[in-house]
Amino acid sequence: MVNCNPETVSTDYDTSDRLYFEPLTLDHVLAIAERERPAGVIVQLGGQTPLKLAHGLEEAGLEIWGTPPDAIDLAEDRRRFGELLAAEGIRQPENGIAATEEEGLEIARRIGFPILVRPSYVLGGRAMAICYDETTLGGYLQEAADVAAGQPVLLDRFLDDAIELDLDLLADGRRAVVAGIMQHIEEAGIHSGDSAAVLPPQLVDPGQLDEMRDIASRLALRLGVVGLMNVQFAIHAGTIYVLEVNPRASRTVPFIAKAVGVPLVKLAARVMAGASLEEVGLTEQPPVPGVFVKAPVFPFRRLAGVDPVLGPEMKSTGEVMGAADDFGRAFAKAWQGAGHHLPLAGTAFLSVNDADKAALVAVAQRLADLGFRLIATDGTRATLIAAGLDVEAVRKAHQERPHLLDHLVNREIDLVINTPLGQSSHVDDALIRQAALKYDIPCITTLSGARAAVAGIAAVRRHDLEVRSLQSRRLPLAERSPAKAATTRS
Amino acid sequence: MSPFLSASDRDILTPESAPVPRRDNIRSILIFGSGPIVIGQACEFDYSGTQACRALRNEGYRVVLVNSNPATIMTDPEVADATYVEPLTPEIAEAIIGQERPDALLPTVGGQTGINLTLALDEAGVLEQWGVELLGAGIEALRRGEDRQLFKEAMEENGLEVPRRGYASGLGEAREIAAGLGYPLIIRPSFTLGGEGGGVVYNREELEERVAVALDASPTRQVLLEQSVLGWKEYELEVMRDRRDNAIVVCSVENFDAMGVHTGDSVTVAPQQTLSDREYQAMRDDAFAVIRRVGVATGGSNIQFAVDPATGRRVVIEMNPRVSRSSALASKATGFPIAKIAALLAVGYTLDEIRNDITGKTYAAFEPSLDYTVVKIPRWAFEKFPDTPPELGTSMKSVGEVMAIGATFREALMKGLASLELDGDVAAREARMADPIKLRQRLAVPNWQRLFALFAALRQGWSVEEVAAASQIDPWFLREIAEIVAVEAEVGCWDLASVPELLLRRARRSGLSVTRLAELLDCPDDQLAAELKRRKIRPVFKRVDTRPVSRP
Amino acid sequence: MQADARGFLLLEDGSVFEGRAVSPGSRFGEVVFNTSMTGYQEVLTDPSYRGQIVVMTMPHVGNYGVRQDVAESDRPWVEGFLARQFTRRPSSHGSEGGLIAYLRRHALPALDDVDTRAIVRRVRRRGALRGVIASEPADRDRLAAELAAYPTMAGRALVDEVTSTEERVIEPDGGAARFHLAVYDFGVKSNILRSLARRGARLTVLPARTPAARVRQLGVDGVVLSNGPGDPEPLTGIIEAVAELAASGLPIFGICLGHQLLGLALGGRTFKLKFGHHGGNQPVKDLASGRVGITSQNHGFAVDPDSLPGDCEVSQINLNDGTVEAFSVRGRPIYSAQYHPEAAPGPHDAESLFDRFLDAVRVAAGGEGPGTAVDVP
Repeated sequence: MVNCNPETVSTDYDTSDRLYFEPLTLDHVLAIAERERPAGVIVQLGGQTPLKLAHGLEEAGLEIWGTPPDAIDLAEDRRRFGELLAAEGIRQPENGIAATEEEGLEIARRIGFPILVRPSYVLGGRAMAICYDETTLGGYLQEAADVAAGQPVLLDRFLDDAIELDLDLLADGRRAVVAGIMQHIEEAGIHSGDSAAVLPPQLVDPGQLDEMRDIASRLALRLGVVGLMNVQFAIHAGTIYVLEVNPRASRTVPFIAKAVGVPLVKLAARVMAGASLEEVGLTEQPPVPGVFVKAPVFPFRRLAGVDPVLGPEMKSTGEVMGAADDFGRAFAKAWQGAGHHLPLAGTAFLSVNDADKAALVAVAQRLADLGFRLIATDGTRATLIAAGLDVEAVRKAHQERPHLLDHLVNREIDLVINTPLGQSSHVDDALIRQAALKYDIPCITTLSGARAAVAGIAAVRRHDLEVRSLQSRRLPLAERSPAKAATTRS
Repeated sequence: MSPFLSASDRDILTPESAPVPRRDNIRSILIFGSGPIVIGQACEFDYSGTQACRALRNEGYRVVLVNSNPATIMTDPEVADATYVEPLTPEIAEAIIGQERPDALLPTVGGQTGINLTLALDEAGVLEQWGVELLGAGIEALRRGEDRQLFKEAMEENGLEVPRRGYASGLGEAREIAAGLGYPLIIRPSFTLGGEGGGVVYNREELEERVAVALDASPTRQVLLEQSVLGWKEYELEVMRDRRDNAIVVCSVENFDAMGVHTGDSVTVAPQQTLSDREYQAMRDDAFAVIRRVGVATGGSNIQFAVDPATGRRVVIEMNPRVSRSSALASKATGFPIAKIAALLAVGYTLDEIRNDITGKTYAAFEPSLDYTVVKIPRWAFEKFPDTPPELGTSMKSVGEVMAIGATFREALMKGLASLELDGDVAAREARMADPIKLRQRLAVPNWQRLFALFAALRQGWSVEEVAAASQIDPWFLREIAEIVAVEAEVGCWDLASVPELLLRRARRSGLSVTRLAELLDCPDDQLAAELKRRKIRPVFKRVDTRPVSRP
Repeated sequence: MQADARGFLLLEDGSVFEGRAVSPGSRFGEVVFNTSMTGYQEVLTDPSYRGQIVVMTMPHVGNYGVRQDVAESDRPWVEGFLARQFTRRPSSHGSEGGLIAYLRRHALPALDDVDTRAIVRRVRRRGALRGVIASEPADRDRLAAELAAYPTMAGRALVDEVTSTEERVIEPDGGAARFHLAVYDFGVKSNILRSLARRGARLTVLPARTPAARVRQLGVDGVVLSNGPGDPEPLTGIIEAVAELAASGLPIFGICLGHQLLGLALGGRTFKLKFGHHGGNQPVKDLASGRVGITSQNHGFAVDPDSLPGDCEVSQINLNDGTVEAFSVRGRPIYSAQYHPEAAPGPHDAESLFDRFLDAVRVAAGGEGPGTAVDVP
């Protein structure tokens, strides 16, 4: 085990036979390899960091176990990957690669705005952005050149209003088995690490899930994946797009493993060491014993002056799981686990962008049904009143006082639903979110998040939250648990 | 009468009625994890909690675990007997207690979250209602450790000095206390994580602003105003105590950054480097007095001290009556598994009954002696939050850390820097620090790039004394960095063909990586690697193994 | 700064460890390693290290400089000193000078930039080895030949080289003396004297070869047998004097070498440990209370528990290797400690041994039991 992070279980002395607290750089790792002469090197379990070393290690004559580095490259290389998808008849958002600002703008004109831009090797979505016009795109391209000099920049057509999904699978080179599919609760455009998500998907047609399984399995076999692979999908206007393929253990793997009760990484390690999926006992997608919601946790409270708005760059530091038998209660638990309280009554403030206004009506209606008093700023209020709801007016932060911020400071508001304007975050919006953060008022910045929160509030008001251990949740399945089968066979 | 007690300790001897080893009157033990990874609580508590769960399960106890974070090893179903991935709230915890009926609760391995939850359950009467016994540290000890006023009183009863401080639950009180203490002042809210909501204030205006924030941050709406010991040297001792009152120091840690920077945001070095034996042993005595007085019956504690560099005067800053980020680091630095041992001590074992994992022969009742140097460097994510001020203070901002081991401080420091995976090279970072006025500011006001500023200043010809005066960092550390800078400068005068072997060896021993050396010698990495191999200059790896120096 | 000469440590098994001679010179000795992470000056000035070359396992040595008042005697006794890296300029408010300058001033050969872990490994495997520390230019063959002729530690009587030549009296710290103790100086560490004087004892420090009759003549309340260097077994005259004192009923407290001499005087035997205990992290278990203390130790010989007569009781053992750390004699106020209750350097866990001994002295002098202060003129 080579790792320089002292906080982890992986660097515990009884985790490995030999532990090296060394920098994860090529020269240090090669020096260790020279001393240890390992039979193989596993790079797909350490995130992006060891993947970057894979080529150098292979060139130095070390054997990479699991998915070969070339497949990792292929998945990271937009051009080659695009060709592969085209050959397989799999759709991805229109895209291009730019080495210069001019190239970038040219591509943008071809594929159209909005555009998601990012550097070619990414860690936690660093330096990724959504651009709505040429000016912001130009600025981004200049900045990107500073962060990762020499690395080309990737441009993708951004799919507004899409549903995103994360699929994780295990493959042995001959066969691929999907471990789980998680649906993001936030819309596309928010980094998958920052989006709340739910397992199993709640709003997706089973046929579409089958199609995703099929696409992912084909890709895994085509890439020669041995071990874990993660695919990010988007469903936009009924069509399935592949956003990204990561031939490695992803952030969602531990979550899925805990939820379905299959030790995915353990099985992956055995597969990398040469066992087949059949031998490790994973031959079909494990059933999901309940509803599991993942909620991210953000450091905003601690970092003064930060606008707590989400985007394509990952900002969360951690995550929690909420488990229950239905979505509303699972969401409520995740929300509480993430350190927020869920107001069961009181005043809800609503302010959304134009695109969200129509969809807000249903959410507002449910809040009203639950007995919440609704207040809104002019635009939003007009929509809701037109829909027949009773909504009180509140002044915006730049209008005369007492205005919205005063109400927030006085804690006269218990829930904030505020979705930012599409193109650039309005000053007012930022002030609202910061105030909510400061006074610990739940603040929801996406409409789908709002829907989930309302479902959660309703669920909590209906029943007490039940607690169940993972073991008991899984107990009826234990007999046919693939994990069990794997251990008895080995 | 045992010889290992000073006369003043005699009255606090553990009563003879203490339980016998391996308590059989409890069967199931509840453990709280620390929840999601946040600034101030990262995966170190997963590591500690996993160790505790495994140790107790091995002993045959039924372990009931609650942690809302699924991205942890501890929530692996095989780690505990019943794993609740549920919110760490008093209501949920109560429901779990009602369902599982645990005999005991080990509150000390789940970080601040675990402690706060335990205190809330106690206040709500839940522990009493269900007859759940606290292991390791009792409620009183937890309160004394967390409540800075109680802590201060306890210390003063024992004749230990703490910075002068006063408690305020409102602005008026705060103003009054501030008038008595004078500025600058440290504001610390009670019961918060990683110093959240705290800070240093230099004037009345900042005081009012900060106290308001801190009152908001504290769950008990109380803040402590503390006389500043800014610029003093900061130390931490990781202490363990068992039910027979045996106590040991597992590891001493010296902060590279002076007081005023949260330990989690400070570069730290183990073992401590600049205290004499007399100073260190006196600190050790104080640490034992603290753990005994606070009343942590069994387990580990982290005790922080500040030392005036001009006089050696020592004050106790605080203690954490639980495993901590520092204890995880100390465990990794020494090979002494603090959380595991703490769990075993909690169920009745004594230090001399627990085998030392590394040697397999000796027992946990010993103090690891290090023949290497360990450096921890925090990792921040300011690049992701450009709007947040980059200064560091008493509220922790880092999101992770790297640890490096070297024979010497220099080697460990350079390895640590290589481990950070910073974008862009260090030279470029330093090159942007040419303006002397800005540079002085970067040295004087702690910030996440200060380590690079130190290099830059020394490279630009500042003397160690000048840098020390500006940064308040102990000159011992700065001289070692100056040595690295000197070696780099010397290597830079040569090319690969002509560079003297002794210099190459010296450079490697100062921790310069192949990449850095190749840069200085202006040659490709692989050419240099081949040359090093030819000259048999091999990297030396130190096993973390206190065996050569600790085993009989 | 001029470049330091190179130097080396040559061991009797032929192995050589090269390094930088921060303080030049060449000397022979038994090579031992010390695991104290602080307290190098106390180690250097401990007379028990006479005849030994000390390798510090702590990589950085010299960080806080040197100062007069922490010296354990009036000069360094170590024959040669090695560490991974000696600090050129100390950083401490209490420093009166740098360690390297101190070593040079005392012409004490010292080597750094040397793989101390490799030396420690070898010593652990082979046991304490004779060695020579030298700076270049040096004739290795000649040194190797001389090394072969250098005496082994077993059988070496070194006490006479370090003991004081004349009696001296140390008055207690403040106030009238509560006890009068004789301290046999076999190479006594200052902190033993300080620890006793601080507790109200008036001390008469005696040269090692002082006959028992002189102690009786002084009319003391108790006797302290100090630490010291070398093998206790050849010190037959001293052993006889101790036996005589032990029979007299006077309270006796033996520390380190003093503990070994007491063991011998009572009819026991001592033996040489493979590489000894040198450092501040030795766990000692008190068998009666079950308590464990971390102690400071520095010894290469130990008392064989099976050799002790029936009325001797081993009261403490080393938790690591089970060797005898303390014994007492039933019915007699005789105490011993293989470790150093005075610490310096090292933990203070065993400091109360002095109190315990003085309690016994008080009782023997006809005073009350523990806790009652009785002034002894």
